[in-house]
Amino acid sequence: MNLFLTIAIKHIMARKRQSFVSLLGIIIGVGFFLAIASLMQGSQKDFISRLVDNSPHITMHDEYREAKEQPVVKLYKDRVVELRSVQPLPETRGIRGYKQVVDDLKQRPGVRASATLTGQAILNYAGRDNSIVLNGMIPADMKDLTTVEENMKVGSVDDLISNRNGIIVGAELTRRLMLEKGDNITLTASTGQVRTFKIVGIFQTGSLNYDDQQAFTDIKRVQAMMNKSNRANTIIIKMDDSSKARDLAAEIEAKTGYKSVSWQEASEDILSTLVIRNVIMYTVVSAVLLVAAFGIYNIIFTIIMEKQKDIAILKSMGFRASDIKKIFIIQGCILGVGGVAFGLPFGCGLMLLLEQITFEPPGVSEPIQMPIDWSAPQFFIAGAFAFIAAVMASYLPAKKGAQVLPVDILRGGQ
Amino acid sequence: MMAVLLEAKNLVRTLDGEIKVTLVKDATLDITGGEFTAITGPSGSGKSSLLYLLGLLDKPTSGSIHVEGVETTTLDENDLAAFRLEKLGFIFQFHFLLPEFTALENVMMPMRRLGKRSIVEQKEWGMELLESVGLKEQAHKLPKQMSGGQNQRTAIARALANNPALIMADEPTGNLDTHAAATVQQILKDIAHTAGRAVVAVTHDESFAQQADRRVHIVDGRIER
Repeated sequence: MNLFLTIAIKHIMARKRQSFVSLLGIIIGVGFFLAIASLMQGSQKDFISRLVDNSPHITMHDEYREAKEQPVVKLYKDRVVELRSVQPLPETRGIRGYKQVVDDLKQRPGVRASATLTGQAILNYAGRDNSIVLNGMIPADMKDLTTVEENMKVGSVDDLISNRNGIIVGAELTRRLMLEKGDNITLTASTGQVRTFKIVGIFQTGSLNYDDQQAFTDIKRVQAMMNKSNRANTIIIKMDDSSKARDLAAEIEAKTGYKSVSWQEASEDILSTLVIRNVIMYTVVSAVLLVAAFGIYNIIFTIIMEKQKDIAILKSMGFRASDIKKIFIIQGCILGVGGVAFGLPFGCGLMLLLEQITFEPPGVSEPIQMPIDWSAPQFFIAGAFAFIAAVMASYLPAKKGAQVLPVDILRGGQ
Repeated sequence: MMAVLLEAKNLVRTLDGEIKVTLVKDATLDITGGEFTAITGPSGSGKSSLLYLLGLLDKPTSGSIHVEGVETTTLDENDLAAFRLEKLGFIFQFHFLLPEFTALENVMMPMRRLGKRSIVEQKEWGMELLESVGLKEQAHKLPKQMSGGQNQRTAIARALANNPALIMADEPTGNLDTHAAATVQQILKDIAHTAGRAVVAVTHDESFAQQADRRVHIVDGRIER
C-alpha cells in the first residue's frame, strides 16, 4: 500500500472514536442532503409534470399578439389629424381554416393537435344560475389530448362519442346540484340558444373550481350554440417531447399569425420561482454538510496538533512538506469517501421513509405521497459536495501541518 | 585517511527576535568518514544548533556547508529533504518512533519514502538492521511495548535505513539508563568504525565523549580549539 495512505489510515485508526464521530457527521450530512434534495427535485418534477401534462403543451388562440393595425392608420402614415376611438368591424371570431392548421400539425411526427371551441353557458337549475365553461371538442381527440379520461369518476369519454348530445361535467357541480349520470341539464349560451344535454360522465381532478365550472361536449354542439359554425377558438397541441414546445409555438405563430403560447411561456413565473426554490434548498442542505466539514477540520487539526513530533521526525528523515500535506489530505479523503459510502445508503433509507408518508392537503380530495426523485444527479451532487467539503476541510490544517519546522519541535524535546 | 564528507565554513546562525540571539558563531568544521565526533559543551552553548545546521535541518544565517562536495545552503526545501533522505540519518534524545507502527515498520519508513528497494528487500534489510542492534525478536512490537533502550536502538536502525554517509545524534543516550546508554554508545562507535560512516553526536555525557575519536568543544556558540 502507498506509504502516505498507510500513515493516514494509522492516524485515523489510532483515534477511532473521534474519527467515527466526524465520519458520522458526514454520513448524516450526506443523508439529509440527499433526502431533501430528492424530495425537492421530486416535488419539482411532480409539479412540472402536472403543469405540463394537465394542460396542452401549446395553446393557439384566435387572437393576435399585437393589435391589428387599422386601415386608416395604414393609409395615412404621416398623419396630421388624429382619429380617436377607431373600432374594428365586428367579426365572427375564431381561427380561420382551423381544420387545415390541425391537419398540418398532425403531419409532424410526435405532435398531436385538436381544435376546440370554448364558450360560456349558463346552467339554470333550481332557480340558480351557474356559469359554466363549455369546452367543445372532437370526442375522439379528447382521450389523446386532455386528461379528462384519466380523471373520469363515472362514465367514459367513449360515451360522448356514442351520444352526441352527451356532456361530461365535474364532480363538484354534480355534488352541489345533486346530479347524477343520466340526468339532463339545460344550458343557455350567450347567444340565447338553449340546448339540453345528457350527463354521460363525471370527472374529478381534485381542483374544486375546475370540477365545478368546466364541462366537455362535442364541438359541433358548441359551434351551433355559439352561432360559430365551422369555427374553433383554440387549437390545443400535445407533443411527445414537451421541451420543444417553445420552438414549435414560435414556428406556428410565425406561420399563422395567431397567438400560440407554449407551456413554458405560460408558466414562466412559476419556472423562475422553482429556480429560486432550488437555490434556497441547496443553500440550506449545504449548511448541514458545512457543519460536518467542520467536524473533519477539527479532527485533522487535532491529529496535526498531536502529531507535531511525528511530522518533525518525518521531515528530518527526508519527507517533504508536500508529503506531509498529502498525508493529511488523504485523511480528509478517507473520511470523505467513508462519509459518502455510508451517507448515500443512509440517504436512500431516509428517502424510502419519506415515500411512506402520505397526506391530504386542503382542496385535494385524494391523499398524495411525498414525491421522491430517484434519479442519479442528486446522488452525484450529494456525494461530490460532501467529498469536496471533506477535502477542503482537511486542506487547511494539512497546509499548517506541512509548515511545521522540525528544528522547532526537536529542540523542545519530549 | 578517509574522505571529507562534510565541510562547514564560517557558520553563523542568529535568531531574529526582539533580542537578536546568535546561536552559532563562525563555526568551521570538517567531518570525515569513519570518524566518531562528539560535540560537547555546557547547556545552551549551541551544540544542538550546530548539529541541526550540519544535519541540514536548519539553514545557517551565513557560511557554507558542503556535503560530499555539494553546496547545500543554496538548495531549496525539497532538495534538502532529498539530501537528508539519502545522505543523513538522525537520532534524537527521544526516540521519536511513530507510535502506530512496529519497530520494523519504523525502520522501513525512510526506505519506503526513498522507494529504491522492493518491499521484500526493505523487510530483509530492516530485519538485518534490527538484528545488528540486537532487536530481531522485537521487530513486530510497537514502541510502547518496548523499553526506552530498545526504542532508541530501533531509532538507530531507522537512521541507518538508507545507508547514509552521515549519522547525526543529538544526546542519543540522554534519556537512557547506564546499561542501555553503554549499548547505544558501542553501536554508534561500531557504525563509524566498521562501516566508514561519519557519526556526529552531541552529548554532555563525559564518558560518552571520551569514547569519541574527536571532540569538538563549543562554548557560547563558538568552537574552542
